[in-house]
Parts: sequence; structure tokens; C-alpha cells
Amino acid sequence: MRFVSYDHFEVSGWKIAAVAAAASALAVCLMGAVVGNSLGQAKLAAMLVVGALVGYIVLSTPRRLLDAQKGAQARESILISAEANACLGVMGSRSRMLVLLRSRDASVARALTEVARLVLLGTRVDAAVDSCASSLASYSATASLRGMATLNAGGLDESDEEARGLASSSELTRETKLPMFMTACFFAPIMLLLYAAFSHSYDPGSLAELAAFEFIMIDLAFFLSSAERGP
Amino acid sequence: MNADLSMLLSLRRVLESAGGGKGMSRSLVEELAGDRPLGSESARRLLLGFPLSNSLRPLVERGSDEVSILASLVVSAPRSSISLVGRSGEFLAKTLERWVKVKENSTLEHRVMKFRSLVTSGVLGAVTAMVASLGPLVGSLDFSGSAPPVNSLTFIAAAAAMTAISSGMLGYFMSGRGFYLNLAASLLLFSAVSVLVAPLVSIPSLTLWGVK
Repeated sequence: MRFVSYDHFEVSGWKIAAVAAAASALAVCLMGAVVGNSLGQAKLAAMLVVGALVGYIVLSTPRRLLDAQKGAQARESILISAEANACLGVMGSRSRMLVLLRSRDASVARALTEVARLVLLGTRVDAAVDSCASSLASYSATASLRGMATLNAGGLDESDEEARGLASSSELTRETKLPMFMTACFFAPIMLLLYAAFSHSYDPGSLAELAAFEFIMIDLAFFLSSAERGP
Repeated sequence: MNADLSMLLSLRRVLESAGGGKGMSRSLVEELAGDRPLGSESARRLLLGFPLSNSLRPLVERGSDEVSILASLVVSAPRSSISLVGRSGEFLAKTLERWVKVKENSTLEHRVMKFRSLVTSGVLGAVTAMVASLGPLVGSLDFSGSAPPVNSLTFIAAAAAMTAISSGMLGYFMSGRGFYLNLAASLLLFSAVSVLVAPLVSIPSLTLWGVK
């Protein structure tokens, strides 16, 4: 199994799949214990749905982390480019400029520190930048770092474009997911109450189990709808 | 004006005057002194003689993302050239202003969505109250005569709990800590509709066994 996000974080797809399977099995067992027999024949299907959703959440965690990193790095790269432009104008030296650059983002700062370390150890600037730029998630951050190695520390437009693209994509995702979450919140209690009324599940135990099932489903819907914020 | 936008404009003016050859600290004190609370704190620190990186720490650490980016650029000026940072910062300032405006539009849209979620919570409260009151009545229309006795109070309490879970989660999704507004709206309408529908629930259920 090869996915960009798994490769970026250097995690094995099979290990993540094993963790997801374990989490799904645990969720199914917990749900079986909490919901009891109030759902009747639908219990098996509901357990499978919950297991699948938990598995998906675990499997997609690296992708969400990567998306969050991309956004932060694209925003940071615009500052790095502006700083690099100013530094380069004064010093005219790529290696001194790379040693002086600072970043507020942890992963960009790590990459810059590594570049500075390699430069101080005597590695050629372009080789040092090439070896560290690939560890960045954002295209524009990578491009602005590579630009610094070629005495062309521009890239402000590029960074702006990527940051705006990511922000617009995040906005569209939110616009899509919000109505879905609203629908889940609106119809889940109504459907469960109708189910209780028509299946004559009036005892407090059954009703408590149905409320617990509703909580589990809405909690999962909440997590899936707010997934772009990162876990 | 938006506080972030106002701060960005001040920092942009600082960069412009620095690009024109004016001292960075002097421009900062002149421009930031009126921007409360972070700007005035930074100006006060500068006047007390703290270095630039220390003086602008409130803006870098506590300002919004855009303000923090521009303040970081100002802080980096002593490492390179103040006039060059001033010139390259102008484009950055314009870009960041555009980001803040987009963010402001998004905040306005979010406010509308919050109102919609509040309305949804209210409607949810009313509908679940109706279902909780009339559901057992409809469910008890049993031709075999073997319908179990209904404890409507338990059923209504369970419906209220389910409504609270849904509206609370919806409120938390939209407003964070302001979720209690959604909760209050749904439970208020739930109670009102439950009271209004109560006379219907008091009708004794009939056994339809043998009715032709």
C-alpha cells in the first residue's frame, strides 16, 4: 500500500491498517456492549457501520495531518521568501542567508536548521537544500527553499496562490460537510424515537441504549465533519 | 475597522517608512502606540529600551496569524537590511491584507451558519417533542390488543435527552463554547410543544380488538 501521506510520515501502510483493524474491532465490541439488544436485527449492520467509520478515521489520520501541515507551511513560505529576498539583497551570499533564516513553523524551522547545519559542515548549498526540501509537505515551501539555492528567492506569488487554494478548498469542504452534519443531528433523534415508538421499546433501559447509540453516531459524524481541522 | 486589518495597516506604514530610510523603532512607536492592546504594549517596550525582537513578541506570539507573519518580518530586519525588508514587506503586507479580508468574509458567513444551526436546533426540539408525545399514541393502536403499557414520562425524558445530545453537538460544532444557546433553544421549544400537545396524550388508548 503506497499513499503520499504515509510516505511523507514514513509509516508503513500495513501497520496503519493493522491499527485501524484493531480500533474497529474495539469500537464494534464497545458498541455491542453499550447498545445491547435495543436495535434488534439492525444491530449487526449498525456495528459494521461504526467499525467501518472508526477504521476510516484511523486510516485517514496521516492524510489529515499532511493537509494541516501543507496549509501552515504554505502560509509560512511567504514570510520565508520575503525574509530571504531582503537577506539576499544585503549579503549576496546564499549560505549566509540560509544560516540567518528563521521560521515560526516547526517543520519549516527543522528543515532550515538542517540546511544550515549541512552548509556549516561544508555541503554545497543546492545539495543541502535538495536533501531537506523533500521533507516539506507544501509545494510552495519546497519551491521557495529551492529558489533560495539558485539565488532566486522570489516565490511570493506562488506561496500566495497555494495558500489561497488550500483555504478555498478547506472552505468548500466545510460548506459540504456542515449540511451533512446538520442532517445527521436533525434526523438521528427523530428516527430513533419513531423506532422506539413502533417497536414498543418503552422501558428505560432500551431508551438509554438508543440514546447511547445516537451519541456514538453523532460523535462519529462530528469527527468526520470537522476532519479538516486535524485530529 | 477589523483589529487585524488595522494592525496590518500600521505595520505596512512602518515598513514603508523604513523602506524610505526612516528608523524602524521610531516608525514602530509612532504607528503602534494607538493600537490597543498589543500595539501599545510593543511601543511601550520599545520606549523602555528593549530590543526589537523582545518588543514585538506580543505581536508575534499573541497576534493573529497574519499579524504574526508581518511582525516576524519586522523582527528579522536587523539581521539583514531595514530598507530592503521595508521594500520587500510591502507586497507581503498587501497579500496578508487580502487574507484578512477573506477571513473576515468567512467569519460573516460563519455567523449566518450559526444562526441557521440555532433555528435547526429549535425545530429539532419542536419535532422531537411532537414525536415523543404522539409516537406512543400511534404506536399503541394495536389490533391484537397486546400493546404494552406506555410510560409517556420516561419516553418524553428520553426524547429530551436525545434532543439535548443532538443540539448540543450541533452547537459545539458551530460555536464551540457557545453550544448552550442551541441547547437552550431546543429544550425551550421541546418543553413548549410538549405542554401544548399534552391534552392529546391524555386521551385513553382504545383496544380495537373486535371492532369491525
